[in-house]
Amino acid sequence: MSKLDKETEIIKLAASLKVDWQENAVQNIVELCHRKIRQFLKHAPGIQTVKQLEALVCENIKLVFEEIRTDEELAQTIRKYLALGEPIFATLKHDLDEKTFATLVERRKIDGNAKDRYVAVIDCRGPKALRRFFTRWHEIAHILTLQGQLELPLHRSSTVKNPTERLMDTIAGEIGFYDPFFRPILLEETKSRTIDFDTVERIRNRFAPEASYEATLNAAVKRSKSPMLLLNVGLGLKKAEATKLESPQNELFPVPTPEPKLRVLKVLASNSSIGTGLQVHRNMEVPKGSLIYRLFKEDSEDEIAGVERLDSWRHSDGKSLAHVEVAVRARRRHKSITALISLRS
Amino acid sequence: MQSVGERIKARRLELGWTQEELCRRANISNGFLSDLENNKRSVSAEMLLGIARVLSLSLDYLMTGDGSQVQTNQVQFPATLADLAKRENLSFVKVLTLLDMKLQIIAHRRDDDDLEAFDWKKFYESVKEFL
Repeated sequence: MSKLDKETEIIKLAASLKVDWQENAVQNIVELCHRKIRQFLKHAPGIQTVKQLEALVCENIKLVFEEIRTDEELAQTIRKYLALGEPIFATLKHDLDEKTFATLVERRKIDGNAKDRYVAVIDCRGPKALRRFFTRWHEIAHILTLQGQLELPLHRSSTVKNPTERLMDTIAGEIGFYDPFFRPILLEETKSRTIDFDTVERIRNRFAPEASYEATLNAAVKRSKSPMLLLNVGLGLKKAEATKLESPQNELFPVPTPEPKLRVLKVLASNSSIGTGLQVHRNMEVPKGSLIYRLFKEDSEDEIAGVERLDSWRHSDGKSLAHVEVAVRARRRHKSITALISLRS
Repeated sequence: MQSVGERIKARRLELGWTQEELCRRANISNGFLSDLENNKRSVSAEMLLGIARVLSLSLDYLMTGDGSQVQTNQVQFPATLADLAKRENLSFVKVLTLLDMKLQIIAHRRDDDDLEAFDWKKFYESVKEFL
């Protein structure tokens, strides 16, 4: 069971959706969404692309998207819905700030069967446009699990830390990269090689050019047939150090501010890596001998590839990771490093 | 820590009900309830929802032991909204309308590490001309 499976909010959501909440609540909710989509597809046999699938799902769940690319478009959208008797849209002007990607609204002045009962306003201004594809599927996930959410006494305005939002991301990653459409492309592109950064770009172009590179990378790694890890590495503090820094409690004696070290900020493991010994934990310090460390410290290269041993990675208690040889491919991304680690065959 | 079964039993006894009475109201068998109260079997979400409703317990409490015990149908006003209503001298109808409008927002996707508190003041300012 994952950490998310144990969150009260997720357990309650699973129970409200009438799926098993005692074991693997997340997977059961994802499976429920898949069942709903399969049901929609039964009545629409001609669907062949993810774009067509999105349109079909939206039609069935009565969801429309309003994409905002300029301030003027936002003003027009607000005016449009105000004219339709929906004053809630007036809040969008302040609501869609720089950190907000989308707002999902249920309309009131409408009959229950209207095709636009739910309106997802997606902010595509500036760099937010890159996450457009994933955000649309995230909003679809909300509606697919809506019955359960409505039964919960939740504050539904959420952030990335909110378990429900994290669950919606998981669902979006699964259904947005719909397996019957995505996997054949993935298998074809990785027939003679493991996933690398250029392969992901090719998969993206073939599957959905409007999807972001990052979302495609996540989906490809998650479903890689060979065991693989995707790491996001950057400067960070140990959990205890970060907690201490955030604590309002003063120390009796002055303590030096902890120095951020090169750590694993995010880990995504392929489903195939379970039980293989291939694992790296979040917040682990990157060993100085690792290629990832070298790439981070040296400005001369933007990408590096090679072979190293995973047992050079150590926990803070000194215990090392599995004694296996791994292939590492790492690429610089702004101030962090994206790394692909796979078992060496 | 109490189990789901123990919480069901405690509430049943609090209401002065026999097992038979609860079984009749929740439409479940005596054997099932007996096993459940004695932690001998697990319960489906659907059945637990039914039991929670009959016992007037929140699902939250029944499943985890946390949160408010009794399910209430009363409208609850957040303290921050009550403060705003007082400051702005808002009528009861206007406050209810604000609450209802807030419920129209199903989700709000933000890239932020901080758990945000809902800003009723900002919300009210945006929609007050339509109230």
